[in-house]
Amino acid sequence: MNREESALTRRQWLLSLGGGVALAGWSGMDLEAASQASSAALPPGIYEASREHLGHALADRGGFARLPADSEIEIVRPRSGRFQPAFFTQTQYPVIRRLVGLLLGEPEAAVIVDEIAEWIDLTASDSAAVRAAAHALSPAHHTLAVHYYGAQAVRRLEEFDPQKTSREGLAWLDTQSQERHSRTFAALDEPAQIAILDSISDNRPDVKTENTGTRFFHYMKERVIHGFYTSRAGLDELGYRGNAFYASPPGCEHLYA
Amino acid sequence: MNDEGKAAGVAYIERTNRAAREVRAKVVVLAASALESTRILLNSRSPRFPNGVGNSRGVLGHYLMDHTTLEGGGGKMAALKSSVREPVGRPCGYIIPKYVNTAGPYRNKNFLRGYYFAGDGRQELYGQAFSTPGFGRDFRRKVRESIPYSFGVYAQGECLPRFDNYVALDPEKKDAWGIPALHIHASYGENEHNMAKAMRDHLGEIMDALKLEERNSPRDELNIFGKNIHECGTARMGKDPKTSVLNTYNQAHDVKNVFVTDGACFVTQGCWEPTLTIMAISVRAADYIADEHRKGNL
Repeated sequence: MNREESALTRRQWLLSLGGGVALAGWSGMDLEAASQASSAALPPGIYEASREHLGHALADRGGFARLPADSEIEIVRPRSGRFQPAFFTQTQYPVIRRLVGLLLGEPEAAVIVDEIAEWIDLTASDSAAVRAAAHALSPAHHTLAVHYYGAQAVRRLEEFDPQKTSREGLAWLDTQSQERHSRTFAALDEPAQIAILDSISDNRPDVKTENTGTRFFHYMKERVIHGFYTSRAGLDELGYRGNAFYASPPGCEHLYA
Repeated sequence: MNDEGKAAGVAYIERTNRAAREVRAKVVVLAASALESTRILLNSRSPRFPNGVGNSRGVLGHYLMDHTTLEGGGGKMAALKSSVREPVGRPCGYIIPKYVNTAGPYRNKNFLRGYYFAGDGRQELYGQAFSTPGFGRDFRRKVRESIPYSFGVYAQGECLPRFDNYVALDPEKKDAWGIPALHIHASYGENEHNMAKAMRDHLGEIMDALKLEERNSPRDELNIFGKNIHECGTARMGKDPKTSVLNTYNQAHDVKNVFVTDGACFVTQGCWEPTLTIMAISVRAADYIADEHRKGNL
């Protein structure tokens, strides 16, 4: 995708669906051009993510799927060579990756850690465009969105800033690490890193008190849950078998004999 | 339109090059979905039909309906917690058919017609992860081994046909092809709101009987008109051309070789999904068209 494109793309909308919500509402587009251009904007309306993609994730045994160049669907960014984060700095990104590993309890070398960290970078980099589109909704579309998804979900799309939450959260981690151990978070050993995470996790004793650190933890955990449990590794772990069903209803077989 | 007052065919815009084109036909059947069929009729203006085809009595566009829903009821079925993953399949919803104001014993005089309940019961896939505290391997084990069962329920009810609920051509707004768009004037009335109260009471009773935990209460208000996307009416059937657009075989009273065979023809919509009725009515209309054509009546 061309990053200079100002129009919100289909992929960006799909990305914003992580929380189960997406809005769109602009007009004046050429439908024909839209169907031909892979990065074209969607027509005005409201879109909801289908859960059918989970079946595809499960079927995908070969890592990232390769999509044809002219595909309308932009799920995976084709790339070659070393991953270059779009939002996080070269110093920040390894910390994000480390946090994903710690939250999952996976060694850093695990492929799933890379996949989720890259996805977090992608969604964070696109978040400003998603927020701008939410603000640009016409009054009619805004009303409709509130009725569809609830006022709270719409407000979150308008207000939540993952870039600010991450930037401030990463800085908070380093401040804490300096105070406790006179080092950056990245330079700490695993037990020390986990101790800091414990203090901001949703398992902490003073769970009602929020600060920059707890908000960042909440954001990262939400991202990791969505990333992991919609991946092949996560779905396998859940025992998800795709869209299967019982041949006969367990416990009620006598009714169908 | 031709000199005999019949439709000569259809004018359309070629999608790829925006060229204006026409096709000639002996019979024109509109089945573009309720509001689009009506929009085509409203836009089919000529000296003979200045307000659109089928609109000589000002009924076209009126009596718009869309099912009401009261959504959001549900919770967890605590007794069913499991560590074994069940198959996840589509055929696991349920329906409690309409029982109010039928031939059965349950009557409610606060409203006409009725509603049904539907929903599903299922294992959570990973929703429980968000409320499972902690992180790391231990967190993942808990998510995997303690799978809650969720139950959801909503009600869908009939919307009465009212003249006040209508669509008309927007004086300014046009679609991507420069054709006038519709403006929709619609709201739910007293009958729908009275029905919603009964829906809500009974949803509560169902949730009580199931002893649901971590409950989501049904919403306080009905969905916004149009959300259900079961729009019906606006070119309704009837025997009297003064109060209807189509006859009992979906044929326009005004122009005998024009038919509308989608939800636009509905006079009432019941509380059930409209598609099967639309299909049945379409088959019936097709039979009639073939028959009338053979007789030379079209």
